[in-house]
Amino acid sequence: MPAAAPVLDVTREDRRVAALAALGVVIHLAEAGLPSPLPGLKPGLANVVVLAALALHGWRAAAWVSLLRVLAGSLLAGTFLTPTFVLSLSGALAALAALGLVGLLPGRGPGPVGAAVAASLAHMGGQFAVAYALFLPHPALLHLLPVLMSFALAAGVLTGLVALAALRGLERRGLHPLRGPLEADRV
Amino acid sequence: MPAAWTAADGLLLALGLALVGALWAVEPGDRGPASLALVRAADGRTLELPLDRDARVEVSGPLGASLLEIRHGRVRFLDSPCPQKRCVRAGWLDRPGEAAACLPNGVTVEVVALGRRYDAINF
Amino acid sequence: MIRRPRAAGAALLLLAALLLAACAPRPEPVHHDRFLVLGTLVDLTLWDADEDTAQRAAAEVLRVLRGVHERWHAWEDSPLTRLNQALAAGRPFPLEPGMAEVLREARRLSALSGGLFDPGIGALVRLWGFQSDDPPHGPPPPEARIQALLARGPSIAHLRLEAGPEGVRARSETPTLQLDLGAFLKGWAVDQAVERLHAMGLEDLILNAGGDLRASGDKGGRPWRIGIRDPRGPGVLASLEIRGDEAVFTSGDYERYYDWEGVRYHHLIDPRTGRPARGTLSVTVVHPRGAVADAAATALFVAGPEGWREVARRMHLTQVMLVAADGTVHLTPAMERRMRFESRPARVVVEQVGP
Repeated sequence: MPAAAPVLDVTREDRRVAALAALGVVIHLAEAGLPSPLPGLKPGLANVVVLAALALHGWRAAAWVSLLRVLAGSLLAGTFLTPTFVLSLSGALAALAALGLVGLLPGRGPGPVGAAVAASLAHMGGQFAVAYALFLPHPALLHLLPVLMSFALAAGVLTGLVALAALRGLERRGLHPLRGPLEADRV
Repeated sequence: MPAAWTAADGLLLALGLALVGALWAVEPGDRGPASLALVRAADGRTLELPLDRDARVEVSGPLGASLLEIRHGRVRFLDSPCPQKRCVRAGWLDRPGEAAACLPNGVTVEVVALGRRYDAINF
Repeated sequence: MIRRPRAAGAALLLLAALLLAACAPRPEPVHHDRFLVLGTLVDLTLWDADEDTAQRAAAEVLRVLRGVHERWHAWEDSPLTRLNQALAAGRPFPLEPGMAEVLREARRLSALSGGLFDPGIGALVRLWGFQSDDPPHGPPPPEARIQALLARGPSIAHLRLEAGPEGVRARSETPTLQLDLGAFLKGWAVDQAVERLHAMGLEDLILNAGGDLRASGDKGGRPWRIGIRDPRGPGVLASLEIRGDEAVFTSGDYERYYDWEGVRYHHLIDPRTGRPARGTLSVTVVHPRGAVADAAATALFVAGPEGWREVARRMHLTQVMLVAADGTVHLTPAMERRMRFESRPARVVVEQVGP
């Protein structure tokens, strides 16, 4: 653990996390206005910022960005502490767990696409599991699972590709340090 | 994280596809809603029991109580007060249209698909 | 433009709730009654009838069906068994009112079917063990006894109905003629009962006597859907929607039978050979009248995959489905158009019937 910092000493990392989280909320709100085949089913492009945080600053930063987005989003939407919030949070936590796990893969680890796919599938799976266990333990719900997970897979690839493009752009500008996702956590 | 495609990406994509494929294979999703066991007694009473919940039901008739069992999405006569027990020997029913009857006791059970139910079965 | 964001979770809940609402069975104004009569379970389904009318309807149906059952029982003491005794002894038998009409119709249908439906073979049916309350069992009767019966040519064609001052008398010169109207009576009884219900003003109904049924009307604009059971597998082979007032009758080798040394012996005896007809698993006939559908299904079963078309032509049938022993499904074009198969059978043959 780093030495305790003065309460108001905001690091550059903090600023980056906050900026990314805010960007995530904006993308999420913009996406909410898009038409979609099933209500509420969106590509989840806001997760690009989580991936960016993961790539730039490591897993803990990504966790902050993700959870901040869930929190800010629910406060803005007025769904804080509702079942919606619970599901949103479950998905986010599951995705973060997946991101942590894939970072443990040997070699260079996954690129943005692989990480996004893992996170997206975990997100949808986590939401579904909580919805099934806590709210609707009806077998008819299970019929939805293949459709939802297929969608999550596609969305993961899409989000990953966007993140990949973004990271390459950053790299060209010399802003992207090439490091593994968990290096930021090694103290 | 490298701003590129890596071997791990390939692995994760393959795993993702395998997972989704497995889900489609196991639960195609268009099989339709769950089934019911439609039980009718001699006095005309009917009982609709969803097959997704294990249960045991007693249905009374002129000879006594017939015992039905629902387990793992199937239904059968477990016992019945008739002499020949043809209903019990009929075994497990699980597909819509399948039926068994204890004629002496006036108890019938038929598997019915929700949403695609037939008003009568001809045989 | 910023809208209130809807997290996937809320939408998931909403979607699932909507799906559940669609899945839950909605209560419909359908009235069900069930009786044990005619040796089988009979179901009466009425659409949108008030309690009082439904009860009267059920009582009427029960009365009609019981009446037929008690008058025409083939082995318990009944007017029919007494008639058979008289026929065996060569004596004339005075018929109760209403019996002549049934016998004339049976005889007419038998002639139309070319003798393949023949209620005069009661002696053969008894010989094979199908005239009993006990489940039928082997061993099958010796060939010699079958031939002995056949040689005397028992057939309803030999039944004489003589109208006289005291009513109609029945007589026969063929002592082996024994009447068993089982292949036709359910149809007749269902017709009588349904006509009573129509007279009572009830139009939207299904009367299902142990699987053979007549239905009319519909359920509030939606047609009645009838599932036809697969003769071999579990579940439903195909279904159809009732149009107007129709009877759907099926004869199958699975209704009454026994297995002996690996061979199935069922109750649909071929009057020509004296043995259970081979080659067919089931025949389904749709016709406005149950009596015709019932007799026709039997006759077509006996005719088999080779001969059914000729019999259908003679009996003026347009809607027939025959499932052959090899699994091929034969259909008339009119039947094929309205039949909806649960899973398409391996072989389907659509054959035009006659001119």
